[in-house]
Amino acid sequence: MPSNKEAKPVSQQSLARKLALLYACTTFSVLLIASGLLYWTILDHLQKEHQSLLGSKITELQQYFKHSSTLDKNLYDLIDAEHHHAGASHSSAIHPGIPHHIFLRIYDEQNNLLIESNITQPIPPGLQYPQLSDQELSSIAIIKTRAADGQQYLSGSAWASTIYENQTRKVLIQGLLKLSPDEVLLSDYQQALILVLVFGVLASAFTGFWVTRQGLRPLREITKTIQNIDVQQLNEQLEPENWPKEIALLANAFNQMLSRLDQSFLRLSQFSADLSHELRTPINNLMGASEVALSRERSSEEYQDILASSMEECTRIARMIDELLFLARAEDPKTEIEARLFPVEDEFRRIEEFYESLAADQQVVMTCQANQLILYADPNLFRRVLSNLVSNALRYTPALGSINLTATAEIEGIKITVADTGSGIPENKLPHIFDRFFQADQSRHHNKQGSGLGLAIVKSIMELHGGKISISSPKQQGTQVELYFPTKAEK
Amino acid sequence: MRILIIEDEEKTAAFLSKGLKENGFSVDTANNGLDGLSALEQNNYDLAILDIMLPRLDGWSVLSVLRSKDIQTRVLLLTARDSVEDRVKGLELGADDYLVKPFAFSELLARSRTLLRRGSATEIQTIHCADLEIDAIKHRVTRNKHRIELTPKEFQLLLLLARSPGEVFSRTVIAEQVWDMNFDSDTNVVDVAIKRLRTKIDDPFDNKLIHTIRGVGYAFEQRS
Repeated sequence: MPSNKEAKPVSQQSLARKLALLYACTTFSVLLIASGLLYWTILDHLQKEHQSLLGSKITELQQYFKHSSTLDKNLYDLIDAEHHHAGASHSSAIHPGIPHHIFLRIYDEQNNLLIESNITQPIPPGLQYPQLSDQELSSIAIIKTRAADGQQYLSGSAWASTIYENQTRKVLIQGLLKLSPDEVLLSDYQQALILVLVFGVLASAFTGFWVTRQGLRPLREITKTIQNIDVQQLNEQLEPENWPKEIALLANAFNQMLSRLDQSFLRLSQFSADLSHELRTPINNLMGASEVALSRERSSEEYQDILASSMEECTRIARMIDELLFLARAEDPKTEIEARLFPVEDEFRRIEEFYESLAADQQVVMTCQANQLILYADPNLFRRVLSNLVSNALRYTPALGSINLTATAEIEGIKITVADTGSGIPENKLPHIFDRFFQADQSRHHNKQGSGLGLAIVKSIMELHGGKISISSPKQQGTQVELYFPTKAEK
Repeated sequence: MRILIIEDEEKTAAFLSKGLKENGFSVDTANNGLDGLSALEQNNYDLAILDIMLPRLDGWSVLSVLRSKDIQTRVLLLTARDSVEDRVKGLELGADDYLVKPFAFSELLARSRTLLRRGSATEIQTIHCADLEIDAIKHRVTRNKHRIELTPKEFQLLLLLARSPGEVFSRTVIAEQVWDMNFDSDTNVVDVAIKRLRTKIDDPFDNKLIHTIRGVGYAFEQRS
């Protein structure tokens, strides 16, 4: 076994790790965005609650002034009460039992302070109250304001009307509520958030890693199998049972490639076995004959005989090399043909003239029917195709038989048929008929027969033209070879 | 007719020189490109047979220097490489013909004659050999005053052989010159054609004119 090239070290990150990382990143960002949104929603909700608390307090006072104008104990109770939100049940769920101190002031129309809440904490400076015009009697204005120390407050103003000494008087109610973001609630929330983030990311990374590894397990099996395959074991196959569809497809394609390779290798080794036989035999003849001839004195007739026989062997070798090189060149995709348009008739006649004496000698009739068709092909190669086919046909057609060359117009092409009334080809040999060195009748002596490359050359010439070739041999009906040449426009 | 063989492979040069001398040419050899080039510059050769793979100066360079100095000696390239590009390159550089190894000597001889005939076109009109007479213009053949009917291809075959009496023609050369089959085919078409020609030309007579050269081909001459 020739040592293979060292496998390149795998430097890239593993797919599983990459995917796990990707999953983790995705989960992280999704969780982060979702919890950010939640956090914002909660903040917004808290602020609205504060707002409605302040509003309802002011409304309460407005109601109070509608019915009474005395600054009595009831009013003090009202102003200094610890407040829970009116719709108590759901708000206490969010901030259970934490009192809100609303600082309230009430002024008369001349802006004299009538009454204010007891101060538990000093009111920081720099707060602003919403301005009211005289007309807005029943409405309550609430704004967000910021004290000099940065603390946020909600401030509200509203007019209230009251009957005092049978006169309608206005009083100004101002309320102030500290916007205290619920520290406990929020820090609980943040902790939960971090936990969710950490666990989510870890879980998704782990799951991603695991799922990918599971999914890629067939790949590792494929790798293991492939590592064990060398030229001797091309018939080894992957077994894609229970594998994911995508990988099963890959495995199937790989199996198909393996069997094609196996086929090619079989052909190749058959070809080299044939080639060495075909080359060794004439060279052996040459060497042996010369060696024996030189071993003692010979008459000049004997020398002549030996030289002539050597010449025949040399001619055979030279022709074979020529044909093998032709085949090798034809396989080169860069090979171009010198195609042009010419009447089929011309080449048919040329072939007929070339083979007429041989055909007449074998009492075989040759007929041609070109139907005045014009063919687009390389004339030299076309001649070679016809010559090889006719020479084959003559070889297998007994006396009184016939060989017919016909050209017929086909859809977007021309079909050339070479038909004979010969012995035909056994059905089991047909698939190999275009193989190099294949001889349908192996018992024949090689000198009487061709090199076994004729049909291989025909096939390669047809491939150079982008054409097709098919061969059929129904029992007792001789052999028909059909060549299809595409028209010029198709190329 | 003077021919210069520029070839570094001794055996090749030897058999070429021997064969050409035996066919009536005067032959010199050079075993490298530089010597070959100076010989071509100093002497007036009718034909140079030039190998491509040469020591000191390869065949391509010899050819291009030759043509750049406007020396129009006919050049027949010999090479073991026969890719289409090589052929095209040779002809573009000014070679007159191209022959791929291995080749039959008779083919080289035929090509050389064709090259040398070029320019001095004196078509033979009638050929006499013993009691055979060929009229190349009227396509008429008589032997011993008897008219012999030949098919056009048989006539062409006879004319090819008879035009160079004594020269051996290989089957490949015959197939190429008579039928335009410019590739080796493994059939015995040529043998059969010769056989049929013989039945008309030679069989009725004692003095045979067409001779088989075993392993090589056929020749036409009077041997008595």
